[in-house]
Amino acid sequence: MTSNYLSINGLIKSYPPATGKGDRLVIVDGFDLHVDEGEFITLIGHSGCGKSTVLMILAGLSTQTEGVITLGGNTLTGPGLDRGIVFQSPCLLPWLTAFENVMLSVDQGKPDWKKAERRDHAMKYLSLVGLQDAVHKKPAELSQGMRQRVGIARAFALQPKLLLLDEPFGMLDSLTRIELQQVLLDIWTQERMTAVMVTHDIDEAIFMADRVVMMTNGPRAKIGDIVPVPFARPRSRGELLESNEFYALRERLVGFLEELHHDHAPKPEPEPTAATPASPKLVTAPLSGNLS
Amino acid sequence: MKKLFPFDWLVLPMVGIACAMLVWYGLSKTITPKVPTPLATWEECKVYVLEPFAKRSELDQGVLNFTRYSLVRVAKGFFLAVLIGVPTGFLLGMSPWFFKCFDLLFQILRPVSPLAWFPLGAALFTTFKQDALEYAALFTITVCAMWPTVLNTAVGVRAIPQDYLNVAKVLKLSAFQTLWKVMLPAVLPYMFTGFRLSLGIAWLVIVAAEMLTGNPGIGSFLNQEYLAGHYAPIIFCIIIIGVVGFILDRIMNVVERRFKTI
Repeated sequence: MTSNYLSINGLIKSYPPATGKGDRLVIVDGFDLHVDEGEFITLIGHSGCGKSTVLMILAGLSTQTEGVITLGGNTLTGPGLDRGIVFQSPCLLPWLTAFENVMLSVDQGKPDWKKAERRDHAMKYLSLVGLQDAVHKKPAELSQGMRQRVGIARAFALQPKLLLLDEPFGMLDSLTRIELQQVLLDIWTQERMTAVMVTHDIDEAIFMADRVVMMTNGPRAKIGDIVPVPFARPRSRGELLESNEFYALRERLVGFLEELHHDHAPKPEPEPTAATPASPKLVTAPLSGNLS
Repeated sequence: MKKLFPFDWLVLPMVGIACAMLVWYGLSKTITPKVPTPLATWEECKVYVLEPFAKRSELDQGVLNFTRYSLVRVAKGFFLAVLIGVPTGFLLGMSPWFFKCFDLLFQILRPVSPLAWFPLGAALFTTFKQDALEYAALFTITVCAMWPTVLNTAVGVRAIPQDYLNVAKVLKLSAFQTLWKVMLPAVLPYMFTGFRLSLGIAWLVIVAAEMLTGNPGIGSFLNQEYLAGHYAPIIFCIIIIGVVGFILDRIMNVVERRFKTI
């Protein structure tokens, strides 16, 4: 396993001011992250903090204003087939069947393979996401969860060096979400590719990740803290939910995010969060002095 | 409850047509005695219907013969309109530069009447001698019919969801693959809406074009009867033109729905 397989150095994303005068609008201000090969990173932060911006830059769909990203020693410029992307909305082409959508990816990723090999490859990944019985259905005939399964199959079928997930379960109901987290984790466990996933679900961030990267609020967002997740893999949701360590971790993340929230939007009364029977003592996150 | 009779789509439309017949009959019996009654019109024109493929002379033929001539002409003009309109629409939708260059010009040319285009066509194709007017007719149909295809294609191109283009980008599709596999299928429904409207206009223009060329077809037949002062065939032609136009629209509607990709 190579360390620093994915290396993000001094990433800055800014836009010229809308009026043409004044300071540039800085969305992401100095994002540094080093990811080992086969590591699963989740990126968490309040909405609008620029976490998706970072992911889109990694995907090559957006360009950084400053900073260098290397993947396996190569500097990334623009999109590439070395990265597989699962979008929030599955982004399937509606006139193609599930199989054809995955084939589009396989045809591009494995141009040297024989047709039959490519078909088998696409079918293999569709089976892995549990869609073997729906391969010839069009997206309109599939549920939202099934569409996202196709999206996952399409990304994995590329066998990319880096898997990028942009809130892939954000549009799903919670049961489907839990189901798909497991599906994703199962395939990932087999393939063990480096992965970066953006999410705003704290439980999901912990369940999936080797390390959780927390971003400060935008504009001028950067990394607030990085929390390693110690649980051994394969993980079971049930065991996780029974361990105290999980809750401690959860408190730490919630605490960090809440603190940011109050920092930026001071309110007379703190919002009670049902999910966090928080005892403030548990909030021990070193905030690395990055908060404005 | 199961409907025993197709009331909505058969009986009520027939009521509408019957009303029109009644007004027609009333008018011809009272203030416009020169216009023949529906029955008299049928008596005078039934020969064209009962012998639809008869060819007594160039301008005295069965209804299906005339319709066929006109349809072939419309098909040629429509085909040319699609051939020119689709690429133009793609350029208009894709390139802001192209749009800025040509949008104004197109907006100016679009409302020009076929009756105005035809003489220009005749002048353009004078080198073709005896075929000049036929080419002028095709030119007129094409120029008038292509705008809905151009504009709808352009709208469709601009409406391609960014999501689809992102998929093309991250999968590194070439420019041609992106056009063929992503953009074209996404624009197809818009294009077919354009085609349907274009075909409607082409059929609208055919009468004017044929009136001016005099080449056999439903329009020239109508014009000849008009010059001869026969009113029954004129009414008959109007009905035939309307029915054929309706059928063309229905066919395009079916095709359009068949190609609904989204």
